Amino acid sequence: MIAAGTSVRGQVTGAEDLTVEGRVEGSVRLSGNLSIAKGAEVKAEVEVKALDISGSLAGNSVATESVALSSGAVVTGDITTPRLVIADGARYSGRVTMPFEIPALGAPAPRR
Amino acid sequence: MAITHIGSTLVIEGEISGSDAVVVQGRVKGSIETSQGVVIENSAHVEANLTLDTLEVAGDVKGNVTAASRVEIKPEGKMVGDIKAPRILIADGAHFKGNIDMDVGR
Repeated sequence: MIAAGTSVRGQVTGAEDLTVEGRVEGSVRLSGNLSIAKGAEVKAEVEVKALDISGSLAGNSVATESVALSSGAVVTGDITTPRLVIADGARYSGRVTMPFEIPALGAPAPRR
Repeated sequence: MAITHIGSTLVIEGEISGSDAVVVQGRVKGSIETSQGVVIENSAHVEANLTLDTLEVAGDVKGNVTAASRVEIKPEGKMVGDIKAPRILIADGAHFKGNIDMDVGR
């Protein structure tokens, strides 16, 4: 847990779940989950299992399991994950990559 | 106000535009432009650029969306393309690939 009065600048790595209520600038790499609480400010490249955001995140994120943006979240940066939820009231700008394809339209008759 | 309804066996290749709500169950390739809402149902397959007030996606959509109000991708929805709207919701289970722009200041 990085509490509300704490700022971290640099690289954070680990094998557990982490909740950030304060500030982190740099990068976060966990084999566990990252939770960015309401009021927290994270400016970092993030690589985790599951990512839950209620605060603010600026940076690209890769989550092997899921990403959830709750109401009140403010997020900029690219997101790569197999499972994404954006709740009403969350704000996001960026590129989303999920591994799937839509099959091509079964070619309707050409015009003319 | 009337609703334009594209039934499940219909295939439209071209431009759909107007001021009615549009419900798509069939296939549309081209563009849809309306001042009202558009619903892409589960059976629908749409390859089109969409300009509208609100959009609900429960089918397959390939294309870019500009919405005046809101875009929602339902759990069964699949979409590839860019979305620009003030409110965007993605449900658990939905598939999406593309750019999202809610005009968040960088």
